[in-house]
Amino acid sequence: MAGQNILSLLIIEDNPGDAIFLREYLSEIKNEISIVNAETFEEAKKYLSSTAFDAIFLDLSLPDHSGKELVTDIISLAEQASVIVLTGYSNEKFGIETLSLGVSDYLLKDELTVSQLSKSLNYGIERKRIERKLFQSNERYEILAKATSDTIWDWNISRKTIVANQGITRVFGYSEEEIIENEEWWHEKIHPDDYDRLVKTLFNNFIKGVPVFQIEYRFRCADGSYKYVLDRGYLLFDNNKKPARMIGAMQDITSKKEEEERLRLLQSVITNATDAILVTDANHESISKHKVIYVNEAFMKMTQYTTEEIIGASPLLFLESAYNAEELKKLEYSLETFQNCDLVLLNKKKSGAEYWANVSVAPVSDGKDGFTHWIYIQRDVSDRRLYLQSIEEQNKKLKEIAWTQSHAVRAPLARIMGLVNLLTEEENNFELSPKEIIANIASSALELDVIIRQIVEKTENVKIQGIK
Amino acid sequence: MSLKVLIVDDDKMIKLLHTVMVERSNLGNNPRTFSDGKAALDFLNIEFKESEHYLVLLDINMPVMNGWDFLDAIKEQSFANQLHVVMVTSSVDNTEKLKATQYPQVIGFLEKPLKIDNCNYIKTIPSIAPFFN
Repeated sequence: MAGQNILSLLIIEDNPGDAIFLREYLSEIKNEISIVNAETFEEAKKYLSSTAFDAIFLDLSLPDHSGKELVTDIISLAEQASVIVLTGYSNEKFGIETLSLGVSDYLLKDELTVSQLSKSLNYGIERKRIERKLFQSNERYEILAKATSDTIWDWNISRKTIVANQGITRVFGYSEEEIIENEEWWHEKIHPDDYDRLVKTLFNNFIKGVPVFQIEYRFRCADGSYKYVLDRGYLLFDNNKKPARMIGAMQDITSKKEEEERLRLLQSVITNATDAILVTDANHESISKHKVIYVNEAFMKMTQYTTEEIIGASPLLFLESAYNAEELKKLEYSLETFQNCDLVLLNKKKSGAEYWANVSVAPVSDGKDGFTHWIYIQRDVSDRRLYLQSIEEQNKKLKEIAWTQSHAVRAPLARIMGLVNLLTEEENNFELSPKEIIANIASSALELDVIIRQIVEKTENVKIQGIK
Repeated sequence: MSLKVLIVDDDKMIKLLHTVMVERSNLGNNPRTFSDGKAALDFLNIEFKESEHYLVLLDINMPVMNGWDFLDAIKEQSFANQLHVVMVTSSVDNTEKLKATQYPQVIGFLEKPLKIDNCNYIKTIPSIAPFFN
């Protein structure tokens, strides 16, 4: 439209008398008015291509164009302008016909009055304005309905019909032929376990006159599977305050639900794990400034600390000990460089009692290039360590036995070997007779037997300590 | 110059067996035998002759003075340069073998019982080989 207050008009009229007549009438209606006169269709076309008019007065017969075609051509060129057709008596019937082509009014030239013209002009312009608004609003809805991934539905309660947008096809996979626009079709798609709850909620809202409705339930897809939906509706009441219509949007929250389910599972794993788990923030590089934000049950059991005591404290509370200095240096380095590390620490319980722990420390990534937390997983290995120590001790003792006894065994054995060697030699010119050699072998064998019995006895006496 | 063989072992039967082997292999004639390091050391202190070299077949585990103590005791003696020791033990232990290399007098390390072959091998050890040419 040209300007806020000035009315911009185009008169398409080849008869100069009629044009002047119309101009005069129009100037009486409003002061701020700008009027352009075109005498041919071609001339009108030029004006329309460069100016946006509020209204167009159109004579039905022009030298270069006329009739129905003229009207439709002008309407298509007019865009937002209201088109008012001017006709003579002889043509009134056609004038009426033009209304169906989209003109806002027709006026009989011979009966033209200022008031009639004013009414027709204002009405035409206003109608065009509303039409435009409606069109824009409808267009906006269409775009929204297409753009949203939600399924938008419109339930006419008295007629028992439900109409939905393409979401029902896109999200739930129903083809257009499958969709029946009535309540029953929708009702039987609701998961049987959710149906009663949904109906109850709706019923309550109806009775109490609550317009806003929101509920999560499962909705069946075309392939028989179910999707979790968050359904939000708005209830409209009729003049008798009875529920008449409900408009709403169903959001597919299946992946969100599945994620929630997965998180619940993970949480339960951490909560019920027998390894002690501790989580700190990662706001500082130095461990002394890290704050514990989570510990599981097993952690409290292992360390005897309560949640209140450990949350907000530094993990050094239970890690610091004279024995750990070296390992804690390793930890500090890992924390500075955001690397995993495995430590063996002699940690303290709240009571001061010490226990050996294998501690794995790992940073939690924020999914990009930063880190948000540190996770400590520790296992009490005191028993295992004790067991290992006693096995090592036992091993040492057994080694000692093996070493000393190998000498003791070897002595009589060397003698036997030497004597046997002598027996097999052919020469015989020395102090020992074969009989004596055999007697010596026998006594050496006896000695060997005694030594071996002693070894068995000693070995059996080496016990592993610390085994429960 | 000749080479005299001394056998130092607390096991009587071994002493006898080794004597037989030493003689049969011609490693030495009438080897002298001792039951511990002390006895051998006393013999050398009294009977040592400048004109003689001594091959000592030395056991390790013995009462009174064991093989190691014997080696320590001869280290400072004037006759140490004329002693050649072959350790002859019940069982060969690598740590003992390594320890023995610390003593310049030790020229070999063998396991009991000695056989003719062992004695013939001893004769080829460079530091005493000249006595058998």
